Amino acid sequence: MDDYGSEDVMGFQAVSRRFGSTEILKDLTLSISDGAFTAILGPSGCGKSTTLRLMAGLDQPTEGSVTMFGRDVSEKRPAERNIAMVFQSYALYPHLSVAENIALPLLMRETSAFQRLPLISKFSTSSRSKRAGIFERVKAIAEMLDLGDLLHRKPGQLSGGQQQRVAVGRALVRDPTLFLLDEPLSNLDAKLRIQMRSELSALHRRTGRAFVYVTHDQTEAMGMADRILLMLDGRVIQDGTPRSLYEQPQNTKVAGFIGGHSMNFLVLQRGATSAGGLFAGLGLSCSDPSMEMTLGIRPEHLDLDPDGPLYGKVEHVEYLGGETMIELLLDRQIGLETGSKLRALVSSARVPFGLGDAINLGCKPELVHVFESGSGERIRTGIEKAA
Amino acid sequence: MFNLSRKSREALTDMMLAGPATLAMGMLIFIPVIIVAFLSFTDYQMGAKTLRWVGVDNYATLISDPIGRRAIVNTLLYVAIVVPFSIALSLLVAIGLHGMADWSPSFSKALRAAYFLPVAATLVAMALAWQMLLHPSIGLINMALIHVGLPAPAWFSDRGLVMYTLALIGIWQSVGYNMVLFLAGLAVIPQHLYDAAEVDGAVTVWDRFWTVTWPMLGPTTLFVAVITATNAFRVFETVATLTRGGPAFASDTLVYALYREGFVYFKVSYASAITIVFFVFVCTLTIVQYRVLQKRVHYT
Ligand SMILES: Nc1ncnc2c1ncn2[C@@H]1O[C@H](COP(=O)(O)OP(=O)(O)O)[C@@H](O)[C@H]1O
Ligand SMILES: [Mg+2]
Repeated sequence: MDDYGSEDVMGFQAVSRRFGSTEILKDLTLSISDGAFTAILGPSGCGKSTTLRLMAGLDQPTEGSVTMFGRDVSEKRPAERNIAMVFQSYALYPHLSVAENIALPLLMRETSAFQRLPLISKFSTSSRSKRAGIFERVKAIAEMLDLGDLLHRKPGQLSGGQQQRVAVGRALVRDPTLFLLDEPLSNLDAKLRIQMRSELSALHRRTGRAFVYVTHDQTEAMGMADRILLMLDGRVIQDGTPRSLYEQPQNTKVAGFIGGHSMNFLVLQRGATSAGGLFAGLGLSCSDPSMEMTLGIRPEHLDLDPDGPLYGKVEHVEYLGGETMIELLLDRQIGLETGSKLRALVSSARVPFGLGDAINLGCKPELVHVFESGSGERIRTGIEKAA
Repeated sequence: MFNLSRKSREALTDMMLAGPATLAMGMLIFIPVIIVAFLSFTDYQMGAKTLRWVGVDNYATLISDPIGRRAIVNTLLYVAIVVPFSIALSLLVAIGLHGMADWSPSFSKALRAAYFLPVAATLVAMALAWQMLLHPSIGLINMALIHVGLPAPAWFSDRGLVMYTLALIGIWQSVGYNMVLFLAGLAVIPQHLYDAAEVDGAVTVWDRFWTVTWPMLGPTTLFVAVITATNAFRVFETVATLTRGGPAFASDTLVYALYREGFVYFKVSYASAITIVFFVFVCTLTIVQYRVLQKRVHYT
């Protein structure tokens, strides 16, 4: 069992976590590769923070085991796991200055409880020289995070962005095996959030350590992560690169969650695959015509096309600047349920029509996702295999 | 009335709300204080038809007279013992009960009630219980001490011991109230600070206490210290019921002396001087505590 040398810095084996009778995490198995930037993405309340607390060792699983480098660490406390964590609320110590906040993890590790006593720390020379060394390192980290001028301020006197940097500094000051970040940007305004995103990415490259980044914001996850664990209701429903989540969502839930504009789902009637129907019109083929299917098409993949197989009347137009979102009530055709609607994102330069006009839309067959209606699972179509 | 601006209408409302109480307080507290202050510089006696200005004579007597000085020293000693011990003990109990609430909420609640009992009960009734417990020959405590072969002290009649006995009762009486205040303070410490401390390597109970609990309880501790100190300065019931200031003024305190001089000997002017000294002590203590500590417990 104890096979050291596994490159997964962290692993869950069939972990579940219950609070009372409610099961928050359900039979979760996952692994975090060393050195990678892994995002845990999911809507609020799906169990992301609970997962992170289990990784940190702040909480213990009800069932299953947590491993680091293949070794069971379920009984180990956060300090023994050598993880660093940035909390959503930053959790800075309000009574300590910026410098003292950042220095605390070093003081706890490198000085004895006796040396940390309030009076001893001031008057013992051994403790003072140690403190001076620690303070040098704190200063270097603070300079790197642009906190050099704020070292003597208290957290209450800092802006949200500065507090966030202090929290990052505190995590960074020692050399942890694993960084855990719980929605670290969610309390910042939009502009700062984008700036901090690139700074965190740079930090990840510089340290070369594994980052686990929890967020409910898919643009953060897509933009920063090497790999995304998409969580829903206490389960990981897809695990892959941002690109694979976008291009090959394993089911309708993933497909609906990922993407800037929510995906169109067209429920097809039985027999919709027959010649002359929409299915064939889109250039798709299927080996099992008895299957009930749902098509998924992203608004950004639809385009105006006079010969396109999707046609109907424009019901609503939303001007978004460079692009325009149009909503279409599709006309009746073989295989399509009546009243089906479609949202399409087209270049604003190409919108010479108004409400009520009839237009045709087209989509490349390889950009159409096919799901089984009942289970919502992805169906591999002939086209995808060819592509 | 209808032409008033919104601002003045709001100000009027504020004054209507706070006004009557402020007026009553002025009449019932500030005016008597001024009268008392004035009387303390005279030789007025209860029922006397005349009074004479004597300057600081009453104060001089209080400080030069061994009995007066004893009352002051005893009171300060009592405060100096009760405040730190009561704070330390109630904080310890509060932390214990706060943690206990996690694994046995009902037991924790029962203990809270038990600790609060001395606060809810009248001290005079409780003094009776203490008298029986600490009776030199038939008291439960001395019987137990004798049983294990220890000397049985005369708790209330030993002149060197009596103040400490009273202080012990004072601590016992205030722990429950302070514990409730500390429990309220503990309840609002955010859990994420303990999480952060744990991640940062504050693993022992000791480290977590100094990193999170103690600093975050700063405002509560300051409040508890002020309340406990002012209450300790006012120590009276236990003295009046258990020792009457004796033996030989060994347990005389400021408020008990004030009571004796004013209500037994009717020396109103002397009692007024004691009142003013008492008042100055309490005010100074409160102001110093707030001035010195306020800055150190609010972190912005
Ligand atoms: N200590 C706890 N006791 C009871 N329920 C909890 C506790 N911690 C979290 N939960 C519940 O678990 C669910 C998931 O919480 P969380 O992991 O914080 O979600 P997320 O971080 O994804 O928003 C929530 O419904 C929350 O109410
Ligand atoms: Mg969360």
